[in-house]
Amino acid sequence: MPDTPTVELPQQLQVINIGLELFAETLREQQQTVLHVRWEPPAQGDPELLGMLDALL
Amino acid sequence: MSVRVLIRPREYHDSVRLMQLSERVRRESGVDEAILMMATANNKKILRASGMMTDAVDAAKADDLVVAVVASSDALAEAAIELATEQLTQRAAGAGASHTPRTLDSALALAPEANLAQISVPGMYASREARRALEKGLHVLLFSDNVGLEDELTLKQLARSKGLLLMGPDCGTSILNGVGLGFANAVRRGPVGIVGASGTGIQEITVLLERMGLGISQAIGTGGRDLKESIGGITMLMGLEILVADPQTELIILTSKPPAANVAQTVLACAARAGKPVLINFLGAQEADLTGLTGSKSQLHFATTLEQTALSASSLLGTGTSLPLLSPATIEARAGELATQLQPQQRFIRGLYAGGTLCFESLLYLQRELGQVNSNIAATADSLLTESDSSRGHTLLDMGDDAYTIGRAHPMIDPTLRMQRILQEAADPEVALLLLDVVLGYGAHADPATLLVETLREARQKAKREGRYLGVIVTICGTESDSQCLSRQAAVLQREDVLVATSNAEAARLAVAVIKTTTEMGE
Amino acid sequence: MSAIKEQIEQANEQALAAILGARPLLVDVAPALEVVPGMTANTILHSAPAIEWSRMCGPHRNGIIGAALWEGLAKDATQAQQMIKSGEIVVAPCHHHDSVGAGAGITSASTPMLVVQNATTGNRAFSCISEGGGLRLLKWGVYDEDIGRHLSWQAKVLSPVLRDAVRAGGGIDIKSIISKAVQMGDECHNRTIASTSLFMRALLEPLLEACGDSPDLLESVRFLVAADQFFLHGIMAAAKAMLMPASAIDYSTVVTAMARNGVEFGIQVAGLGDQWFTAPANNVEGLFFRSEWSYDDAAPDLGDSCITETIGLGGFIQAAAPTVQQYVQGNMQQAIANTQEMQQICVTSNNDVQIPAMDFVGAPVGIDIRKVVQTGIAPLIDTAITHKQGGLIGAGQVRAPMACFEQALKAFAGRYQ
Repeated sequence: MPDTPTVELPQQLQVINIGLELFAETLREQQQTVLHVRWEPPAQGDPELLGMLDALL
Repeated sequence: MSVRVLIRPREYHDSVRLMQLSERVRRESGVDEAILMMATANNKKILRASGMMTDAVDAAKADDLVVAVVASSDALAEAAIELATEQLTQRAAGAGASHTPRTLDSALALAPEANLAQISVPGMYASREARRALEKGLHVLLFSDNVGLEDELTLKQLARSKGLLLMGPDCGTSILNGVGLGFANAVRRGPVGIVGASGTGIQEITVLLERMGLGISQAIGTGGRDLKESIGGITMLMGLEILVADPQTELIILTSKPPAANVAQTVLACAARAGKPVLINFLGAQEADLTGLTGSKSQLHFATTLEQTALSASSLLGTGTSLPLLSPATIEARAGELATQLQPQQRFIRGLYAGGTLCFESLLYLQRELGQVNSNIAATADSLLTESDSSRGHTLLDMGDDAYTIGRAHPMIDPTLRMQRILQEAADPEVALLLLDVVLGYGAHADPATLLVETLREARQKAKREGRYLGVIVTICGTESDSQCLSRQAAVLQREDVLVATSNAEAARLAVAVIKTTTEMGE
Repeated sequence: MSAIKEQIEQANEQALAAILGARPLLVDVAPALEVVPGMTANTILHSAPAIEWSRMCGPHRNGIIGAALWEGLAKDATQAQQMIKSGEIVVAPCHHHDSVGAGAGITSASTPMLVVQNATTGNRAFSCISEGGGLRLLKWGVYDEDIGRHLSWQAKVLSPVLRDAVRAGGGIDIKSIISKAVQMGDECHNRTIASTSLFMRALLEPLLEACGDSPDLLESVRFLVAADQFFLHGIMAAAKAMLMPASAIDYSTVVTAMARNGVEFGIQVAGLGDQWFTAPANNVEGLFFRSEWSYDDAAPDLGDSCITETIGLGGFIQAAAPTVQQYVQGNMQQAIANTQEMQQICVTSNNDVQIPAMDFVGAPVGIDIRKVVQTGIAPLIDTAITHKQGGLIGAGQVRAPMACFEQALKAFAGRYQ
């Protein structure tokens, strides 16, 4: 294996949840801080605009 | 029959919320069917199949929300639409008034110390989000499936180059530093570390260890395809590296379906150098094949089932605890009790699983013991069932497989499809018993046993009217500490004349024993 | 990050540096013909974007005809229309002449203009003065003899007094007024009571010094004291003056102008020069001042006043002005959530505009067309509701149309990729 940085797990998980709010709830049930992103398809799913955003943003 | 459809343009809600709202509208408004879904191409197929396609739905775009109801009268349909609208508006208003970022970038502006992104967006958008998270230096748990293999490779290479874990795609479970991510059970901390390419495989092993008083240091999911040749086990190897270096981990378990040969070789070679015991659970692989690859078995141990993996772990760590498994004699006895209640033509097992790995493990065992078993995850063409096929002969279905989850939530979240299938199987006069898994823990249904019992009663009543007894064997994947509580769930089922097994393997043994007994009785 | 993304980030930084580094000062008051670039005796300006006479909304037509009559360019409405159609009267957006106009934005040769100079870069921007409060004003597309008399009074009596005072003031710091006003309950678009009070305070000494002996002082002061939202137009001109230096920065995706003409909404982008990206204007959502009025009477979104949102005021800082929330039956929590939404489409935050209710966080500033398209969050604008036939009938909020930003992004990709 080439020289790659060793992977370390963070001591304290600080989670950002993107997608199903269910998984933010399961973290809150465990008293874990989680920031839920109210995700919606970018550019409302328009493929042309999505392509541009991939290149520009 | 009244069909009402409402289109709410450019209004997005996540699939689980919509499923929950659909369920609520169905329950509270007495309609025959209520479906809320985004007007994606796949969902339109579902609506068409349910008789709810209209011109408006056809014209709707993927970011429009469809609310469709079928009721016995116009009044009921209208009321249902009103209820749905009220719920949606409430939801939208609530969401607007709360402090929620809309993108990963906005979230990072609010929480710059974030170190892990949990991603469960639709597959076609998942790579983009995962890439962004990795670029920003976050570990990623990627629950989404339907992500391309090429994307998985480039993302995992990116992750590795930055010393970050990409767990997934299609990774349902991880437990990091005692925190359950995705679907996971409440288990104690302890000396066993797991790296697994299967969500329910990890869940089953952790709950069985918990039963024996053994805890988990870390459980790292890799996603189902990590050990394919093209991916090369990138995440498994990184997970292994973490557990090797972790002083809390005294024993490492690697669990997966059998990897591609050269990937297995690399993984085993690394495992052999671990400096601590490594237990290899490549489901369905023969020990001989594997030791052939490494040349020496001194560092490595092997287990063929999830149950055996847990038992071996306990034995290797010298804890002296075991599982309350039924003895062969008891299994015979229970099987006999069930078998005597069956009609001669009732010869087949129908297994309906939410946990893909549990289904796979049972499939292997049943095939070995009973011969042909059909499945949607069967390896051979003559045993393969598609999602529109009815079951035939012995059949085990993985209902979390992609084909069943297009436009629907996974069966662990939305039990509807499985409940419907139970009724279907019960109507088949050749069915002897149902073989089912019930998964507890974070993210699972609040009371799956009670829900299951409702359907089982209906199924058994139907069978009874036709002069048949229907056997039911259930494996519960859960712990006492899960909010649903293992023993309470077991009690609910046992009161309903359901055979509750301690492990998935035991459930399969019970099922096989029943069939062998009836076959003998028939001779 | 790829090369082009780097270039965009750098260009946006540059644009924001220009905008936030601006020092807009009110330096003069003078008739449009004297100070507005390209102004002529027969030119009448209106709120952007440009639009043909035949498609103009009622307030614009009424206002432009009114101005033609007031200036004596035409003797009646029929002649005025003929002259407009023939081109004898030239009609153009204020924005094309470094100016901005609230509501219909009607500006003609004799209209007294607030002159704002950006002391950092030297450029100037202009706005017609406010006619004061009231539902029937030229600004709202209404013209009659009373309105004409008031306009003439403003031009002949008020304007010279203001001019002398402003000149004596040596440059009134508008940025400073905005900073303080936002901490006093203004969002600087629909509510400018604090800004206007601060302006009056800044004006007091030079007014007495320069005009203490003027026979018109008392009358002028009476008007100014009653016109409690007078300074909106000054803030608008300041916003224009701040944005002008950012109006031609290659690779920048920052919005440099937003405006509506009662039919269409238009935006300009720093990296795309003078081009306007337009789409049908949305209808304003809010409350009507009298029960006789409803959404059926309302004209679509109108005015250059969203130049304030373009620099992160107004709808972007609703949390600074709880009274404004009433128009959309909202509450403080919603106002804060709205500002947080705007944060997600902006480049940065403005330390000169701090919102007390949000622990003095800097207001979101620098609308990025990429983020607008990505998130589907359109800029939120606090604004007035105008009657289709002219007149002010209500107030509320409205979103910029997403289509403007989508078009702009496509043009940007076409030019730079």
